Amino acid sequence: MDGQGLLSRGINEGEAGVENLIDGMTEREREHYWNTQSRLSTVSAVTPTYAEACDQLGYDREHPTPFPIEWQAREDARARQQAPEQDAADEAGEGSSQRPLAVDQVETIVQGPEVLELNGWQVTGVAWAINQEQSPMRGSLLADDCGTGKTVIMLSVILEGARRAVRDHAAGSTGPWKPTLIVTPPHVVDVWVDEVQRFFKSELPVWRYYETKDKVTNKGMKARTLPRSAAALASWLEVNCPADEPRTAATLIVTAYDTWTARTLRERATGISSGT
Amino acid sequence: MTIVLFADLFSVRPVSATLVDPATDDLDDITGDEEATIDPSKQYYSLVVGKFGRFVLDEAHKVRNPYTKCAEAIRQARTDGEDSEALSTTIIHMLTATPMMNRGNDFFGYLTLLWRDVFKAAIEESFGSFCFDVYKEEHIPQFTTAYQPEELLDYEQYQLPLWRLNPHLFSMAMDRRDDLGRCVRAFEVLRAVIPVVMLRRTQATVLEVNGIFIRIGDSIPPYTICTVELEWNDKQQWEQYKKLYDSYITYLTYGTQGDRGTVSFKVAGTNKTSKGNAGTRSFVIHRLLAIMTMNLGLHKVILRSGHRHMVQDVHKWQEMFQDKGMSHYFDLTKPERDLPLYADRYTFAVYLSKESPKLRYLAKLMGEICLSPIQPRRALIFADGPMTLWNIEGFLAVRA
Repeated sequence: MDGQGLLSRGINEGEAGVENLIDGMTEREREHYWNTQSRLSTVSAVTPTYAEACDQLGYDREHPTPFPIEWQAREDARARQQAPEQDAADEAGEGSSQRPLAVDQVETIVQGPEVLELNGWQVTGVAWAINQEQSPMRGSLLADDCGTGKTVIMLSVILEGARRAVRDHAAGSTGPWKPTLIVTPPHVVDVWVDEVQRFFKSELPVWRYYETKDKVTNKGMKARTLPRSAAALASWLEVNCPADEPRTAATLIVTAYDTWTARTLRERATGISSGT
Repeated sequence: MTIVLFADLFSVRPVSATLVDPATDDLDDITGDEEATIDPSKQYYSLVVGKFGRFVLDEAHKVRNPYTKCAEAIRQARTDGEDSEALSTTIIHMLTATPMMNRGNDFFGYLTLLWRDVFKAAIEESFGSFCFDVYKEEHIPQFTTAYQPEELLDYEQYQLPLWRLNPHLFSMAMDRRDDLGRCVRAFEVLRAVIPVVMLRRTQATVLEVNGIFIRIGDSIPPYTICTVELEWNDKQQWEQYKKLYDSYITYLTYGTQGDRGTVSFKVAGTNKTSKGNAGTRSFVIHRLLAIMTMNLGLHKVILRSGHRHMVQDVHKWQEMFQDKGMSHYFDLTKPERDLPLYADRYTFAVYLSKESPKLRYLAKLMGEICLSPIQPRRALIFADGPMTLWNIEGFLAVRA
């Protein structure tokens, strides 16, 4: 659609059409507004308090920030431990091409990651979601209002999971660790990829299982697009997300509901129809 | 900035279908129909099973209906072929700002995705008879000690019986057909289930951070509301109306069982498919029209007049009391049985438009057009269906 026929009057009128709900209110109206808002929906799980959440996650109470994971430093340290000739052989042979998740080889957005400081309710949300993961529930329904940062909470939770994997790995565990699948409506796929790269560029490697390489024009997105067929995805995961590598737990794959359904869901041939 | 598009529900659907540009979009991204439901007689499997340790579903209200293919694709990807053990170790997070869009039973879909066989209690078979009791607060101790699966007793925070999250039990307790104390029941059931699985903070939520109480809404930029009116150009408008006409005319003229063979017609927003409805005489369609044109009063008329009246009845009503049948309309919709008819036309007009923002809008529009001090003009009003037309005619007659 060319969009030229769409005449938008509201925008042409400029500021007149825009109304700020909060700023135009008197003190009393504002109080009434918040009271009404708080009466709308109150049933919810109870989170840990802010102080408890910070202690649980090890965050600084003044500036709560998710801890970075120094993947590169870990790689370097391990490389130093390995015998030098084996390292050289690795690089000469096919080993280098199969090295898991060479993020630094991929050209993505130019600016570096921002330092993310969480808001109070986001910290308690992260702590709650992690508790849900570790409890028998093994899942949650996070229904915060629009604009309060559900995405950021979820990314912090995934990062915490990866940190736990690193810790377990150091303690001698061999996993198995598995990547995370993020399923979104189609128009939000790239928003998620951008968001991850904005805040956790070096911590969380992100890939899109959506569209195909030849359809994507954006260079950064193109490099992060995975092959189309389910079999290719499975073998890609096999190579790049080994179960004994803690970095696997930090890997994100973003897909759209329809794409995931169309590419992976199949009908099982029943006894009758298989006779054809 | 949030843009609110105030548009007819009718016109929204076909438009969104054209927004997908086949040139830039993957083919299988558009062929996968979001609303497509699974065929219960078939079995499904996923080509990628057991590969992921954690699933994050953004805008999770899309899977609130567990019978869609989307939900099935995710459920299947979480299993490991025949082995349901893998399902029990994968984590699933669902994000949505609108967990319950229509009714409490929307929770059914989320519970299906969260349910794990570990929660199952031995008692499950006999749930049907006392399914509501298990959600009542005073019964918790009794049920907890008796039926909690052993491996869950270690978790202090889950002393609550988790088998109450069983989607089918939940759905039974929320069943709408049982009228007695329905609201109270739904409320209690939801209150028992929600705190276990859902975290919801609104803008008004207040929490304590380092000794200071902050309100979430004060810490983030406030919403701004901006109304934008969009206009089609002639070509686009013609195309959209043609599409609209083509997609509904068959139902309205031939019914859903016309000479094109049996067509099953999916009732929007529900799982029900009605087969062989008789076109203009299908009250499903008329009720949908009444709701879509935002006229709840008409919806009530159709409900209370017993679903049997049609064009000839509307004519009869119109001639009954020489008031375009509006007193009959009042009879059918009045909130209390003994309420007398309004004495003056103005209050009656207010009553008529009370349940329909569109009638109010129409009144304003007619005022602007017909009573304009500069250049009064005539107006031609089109309406869909005899009921709507009747309502508008009556309204204008009363209001004139």
